[in-house]
Amino acid sequence: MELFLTPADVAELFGITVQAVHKMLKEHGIATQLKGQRTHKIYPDMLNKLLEIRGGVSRVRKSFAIHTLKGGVGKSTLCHALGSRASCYGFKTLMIDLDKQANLTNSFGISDDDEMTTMLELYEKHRTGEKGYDFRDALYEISPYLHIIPARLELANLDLSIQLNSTNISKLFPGMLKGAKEEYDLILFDLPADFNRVTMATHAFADCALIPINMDAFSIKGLKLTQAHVDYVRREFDGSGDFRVIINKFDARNTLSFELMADLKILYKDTPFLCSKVIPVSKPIETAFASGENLWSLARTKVPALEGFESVLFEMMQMDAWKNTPPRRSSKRAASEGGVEHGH
Amino acid sequence: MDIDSLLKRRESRGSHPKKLGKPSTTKKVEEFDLMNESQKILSASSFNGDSNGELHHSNMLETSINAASESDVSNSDASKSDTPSPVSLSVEKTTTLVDTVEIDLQIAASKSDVSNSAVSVSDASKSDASNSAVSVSDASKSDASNSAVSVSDASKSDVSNSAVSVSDASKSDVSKSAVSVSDASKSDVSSSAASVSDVSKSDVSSSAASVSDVSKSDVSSSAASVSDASISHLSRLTTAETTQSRLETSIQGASALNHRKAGATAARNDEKESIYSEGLRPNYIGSLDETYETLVQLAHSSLGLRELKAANYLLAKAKGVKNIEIQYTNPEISLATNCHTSHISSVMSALEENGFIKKKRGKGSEKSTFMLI
Repeated sequence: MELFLTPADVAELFGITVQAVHKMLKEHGIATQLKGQRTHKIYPDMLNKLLEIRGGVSRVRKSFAIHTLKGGVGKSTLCHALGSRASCYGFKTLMIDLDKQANLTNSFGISDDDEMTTMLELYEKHRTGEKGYDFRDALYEISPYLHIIPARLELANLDLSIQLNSTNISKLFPGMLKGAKEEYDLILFDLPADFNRVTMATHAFADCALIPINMDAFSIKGLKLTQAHVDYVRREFDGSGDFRVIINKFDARNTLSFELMADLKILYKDTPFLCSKVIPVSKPIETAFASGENLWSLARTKVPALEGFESVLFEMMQMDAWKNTPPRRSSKRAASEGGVEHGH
Repeated sequence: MDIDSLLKRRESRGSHPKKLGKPSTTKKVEEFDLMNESQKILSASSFNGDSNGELHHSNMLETSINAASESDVSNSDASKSDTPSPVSLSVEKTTTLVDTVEIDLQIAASKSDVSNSAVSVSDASKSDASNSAVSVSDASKSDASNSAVSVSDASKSDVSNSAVSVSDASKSDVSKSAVSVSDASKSDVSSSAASVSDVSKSDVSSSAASVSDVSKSDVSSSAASVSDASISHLSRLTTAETTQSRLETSIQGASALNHRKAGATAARNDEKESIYSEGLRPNYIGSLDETYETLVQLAHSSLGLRELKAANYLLAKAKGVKNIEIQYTNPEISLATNCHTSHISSVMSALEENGFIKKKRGKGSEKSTFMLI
């Protein structure tokens, strides 16, 4: 899958015009257009170079567990969208599919019929203390900046194995994914709509839980239960207990959506728990996700949900600060100004 | 899209979704009480684990069922009485107050054990009740004071086909009884499923529900026919309680609806009254000199009769006081001027153009206002 940014995306990121981006690319000899192609593709390496030119930015490192008890709210879609977009912005991203239905895995065009290494095999290897154990053995590379540990149906046994072997939940993932937090800027867990030892271990490991909800009563019930689950893990297994509620598939035609949203807003008033951005409902996203296409290749103007995903990513990864980085002045101009100052 | 801007945009459109239509039956966020519920859920033991990873699943479903049954019982009137009542009685009311009556009887008391029973139920075999499935008679004419339900015999008469006959034994003190059901079935209730009559003879002041006067004749079509002898099943008891609480809710809903309808009519009448009150008749002229002057001015302008009529009314409504915003509605002016409502907005605009008034459009459900200039 080809994951890149367009000059328009970069222009929006830096708060400059598209022409200025092209000028910057040209000045620094960054070739974004291949022969015979019309689109300019700015890959993460190129973006990093541009960021360096502008004085660099500080990247946060975070791990998120995308989880809610209610099914069908868009957990895997959110994981796919956030992961793939974050990698475009140069975040080294690891996605771990823990859902036995393997939707996230399939959405990247990986078939779950293959003999692949999942978290179950990793767990067994780690438990038996196999020599040379490394979680990187299970990685699939979607792009240089985006890796995934896939899932398949057998993953259903992971919970049972953890139970039978009485594995310490709070130490499970720190042991299995040793070095991952240092290597990756962003780790995303796609969890099933369930509460079990796997979800508990994930919440104990992750920095924050992302709870996507739809604007209906059952989702709110799911939110309540998931929030209780996260809180339980915080108390019993020393989890972070932090969570963010993301309103997904928002439908402005539905009166109830506004009512529930207003209620949530009041409920989470003065707390950071409710993500201020909303992801609108989108059919093209659902279709693209199911068919294994790149969501970000869709026309941005026609799919407002993409804006929603990006806004959420910006909020989660604190990327709004990137816009405020002042452009570095050109050396020629700086020298001339410096000379004038010196003269005074 | 962020939440604040969406909510603002919604507000600026002036829609008030909560006021429209029926009251929403959907659970609201606050009902779930997200912040506090977490503790309950945890204690309700979806997960009881220790830090070593040991986890003990408890049956969540069971807990919820228990909780539900507890709540059901607490809502039912029968449970309020502390007597171990072997008889459960549920009254089903649909649209009208006592349209349908359902009686579930659970007979657990034998002839012998009547003295201490809360409700005395005995055999009706004394009479000719050959086809009746259940016949209930009284053995406790003496001590029925604390009984939750008093059911007595009516089957002495001809109740050959009746499924159940319930009669009055509660002529004595049944003040503490939760429900008192008396007999109406001494007459011909051959095809009726159950007959319930007035209890007003006795003192039912503290009774939770008093079932009075079901039309003695026409009970035959009532939905609730208590036939079978299998009423003794305990499951019926729960069903009856649930049905009763559900019915209470529906009755409340129905009465609320009626209230609302009545309220709307009353409000409309009030509006009409207010239009004509204090001399605000269509042809009333307030302060004569001033009004005359203004009307002459208007008459000289290009305004028509409608505008003059409306101006007259507005002057009267404002009592000639200028620069004060006064609410109005188009139907109200239509009524006062005998013009069709569809003309009123253009009439008001014409008056505004001619510098007679200044109007302000109300946002959302607010009424528009005018101000004499």
